Amino acid sequence: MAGAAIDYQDLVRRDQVHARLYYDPAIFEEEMDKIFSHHWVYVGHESEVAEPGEFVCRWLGLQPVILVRDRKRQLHLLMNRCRHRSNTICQVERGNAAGGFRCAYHGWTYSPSGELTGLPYSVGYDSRDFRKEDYGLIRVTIESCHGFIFGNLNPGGHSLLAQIGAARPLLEQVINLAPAGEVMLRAGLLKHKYRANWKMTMENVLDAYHPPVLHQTAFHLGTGKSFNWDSVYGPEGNARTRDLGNGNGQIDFNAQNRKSGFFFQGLKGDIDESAQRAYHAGLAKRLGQERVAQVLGDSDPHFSIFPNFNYLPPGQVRLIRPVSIDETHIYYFPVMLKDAPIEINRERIRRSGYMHGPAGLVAPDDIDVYERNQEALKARQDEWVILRRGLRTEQREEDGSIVGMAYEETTQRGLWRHYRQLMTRDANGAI
Amino acid sequence: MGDFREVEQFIYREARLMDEHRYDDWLALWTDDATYWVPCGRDDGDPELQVSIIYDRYPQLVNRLQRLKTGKAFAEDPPSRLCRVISNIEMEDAAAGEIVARSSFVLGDLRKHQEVHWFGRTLHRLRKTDGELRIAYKKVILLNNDEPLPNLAFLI
Repeated sequence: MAGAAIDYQDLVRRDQVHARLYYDPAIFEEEMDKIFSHHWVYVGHESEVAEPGEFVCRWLGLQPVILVRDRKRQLHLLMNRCRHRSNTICQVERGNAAGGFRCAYHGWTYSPSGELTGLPYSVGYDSRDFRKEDYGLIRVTIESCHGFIFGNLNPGGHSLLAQIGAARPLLEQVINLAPAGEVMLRAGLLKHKYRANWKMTMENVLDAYHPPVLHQTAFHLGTGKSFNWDSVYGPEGNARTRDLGNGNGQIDFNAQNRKSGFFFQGLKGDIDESAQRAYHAGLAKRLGQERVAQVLGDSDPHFSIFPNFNYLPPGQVRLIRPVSIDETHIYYFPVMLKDAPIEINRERIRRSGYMHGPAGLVAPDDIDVYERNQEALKARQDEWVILRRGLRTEQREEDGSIVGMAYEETTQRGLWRHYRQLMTRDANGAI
Repeated sequence: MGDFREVEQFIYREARLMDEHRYDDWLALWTDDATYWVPCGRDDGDPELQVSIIYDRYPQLVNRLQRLKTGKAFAEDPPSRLCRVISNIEMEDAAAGEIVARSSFVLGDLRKHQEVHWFGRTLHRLRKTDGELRIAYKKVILLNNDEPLPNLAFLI
């Protein structure tokens, strides 16, 4: 790369970050390498490709990959690139390729597990310098946790579970909401795009300072105008921000949910009582009656796993896809609870679209703010973005997580600390 | 057979109310048992089992408009400038005295110097209530409903 090396130690400071991190295309290119090619990246959920041959097309940064289940039900993450002269071998975003993939250009065919199975006129190659077994689709390492699949182009000895770390109990909190102990992401997905940097959404999803301001209109619809939001987000409130390490973080509503029931998710009341009873009985069968109240009290967690996975109430996974320094796509997947009554899952699906997505009552306001952020970053007089709230008052807890009040920037600082580690690590990928 | 001219004028008027962000006047066009559906990722399917861009029953539609009217729905502050052209209107009688109207639209959406062009097909199911046409069901099939969309915080 031309020019001086980018000094991330200087750009990412303990209590402020430099605007250049959001607008310099050279930084985006380095992120695609140091983060999206050397780190676990969320690509999808096992249930999306539940049947033999099912596939979805995804990305590791800008690199196109196919998540596919082969005829023996094994999962693979394959580069969507013909090994011959480079051609996407899969043209649609989802489907079934039990019969394999075929490149339209010269007819090379691959099995769902990626082996090169045939090519026209193979006589044109000499067996001394061409063996079919060497030209399968490039395979990417995958690991999964509770069905959530992450890919890593260069794992270098780092396991997914080590990266997920303290966020793992939150994935358990999710699957424990399902009577079968499994979730399903097979209710379609919403796709949203914005003209701003990808990191803004990662910061925003862990920001509990903005909701009472930016989302007040949506919240009032859920709770009525008289609801005192300070009792959740304010100095007397029960919500907390939690830096889970490794760039992962949480807005912890558990204490609030235990106190006030389902909080603004409002699952109570909207769902037929007999369905709720059947749901509770299903949970009790797996977890025991003792734990049902706790699981329902905690409800859907609100957290993120660096660099591109978010989970939000009312049961939604978000996959963040960076496209360029100032363009980002977000995919939103409703999370259905396996073996829950259909009424519960219907309501989760409906709320997912109603709250988030391009026509939701919440997400569009966030999106508009990111674009306003990106525009304002052109003002170059004071280029620092300050992340100082709660710096002196946050507390480290026994499990190693760092906890701040809802309105403090504990989680953003955690995200950037991990970012700086990744962007400054050496060529061997050691951090 | 419903009166084609009346149906056509109704659809044009609805388009103008949406273009002008006249939320209350637009809401008054709907029956109180109405369904408003903008499918996602496909043109059809079951909106109870697949997520939708919009899938509102009347109460959700009322909430959606109530939020927009506060002036604090920031995705519409400032509001989009909208201009839509409706064409290809076809009409047929449906069960229970209702009328099905199919149409296509092109919509220009200009906000903060960014112009977005939307294309789609609309299916209205209209019902005469107290002598006036009302929307009992509206489905909007966006051309790009399986693509990442910019904000769609105005009326479509």
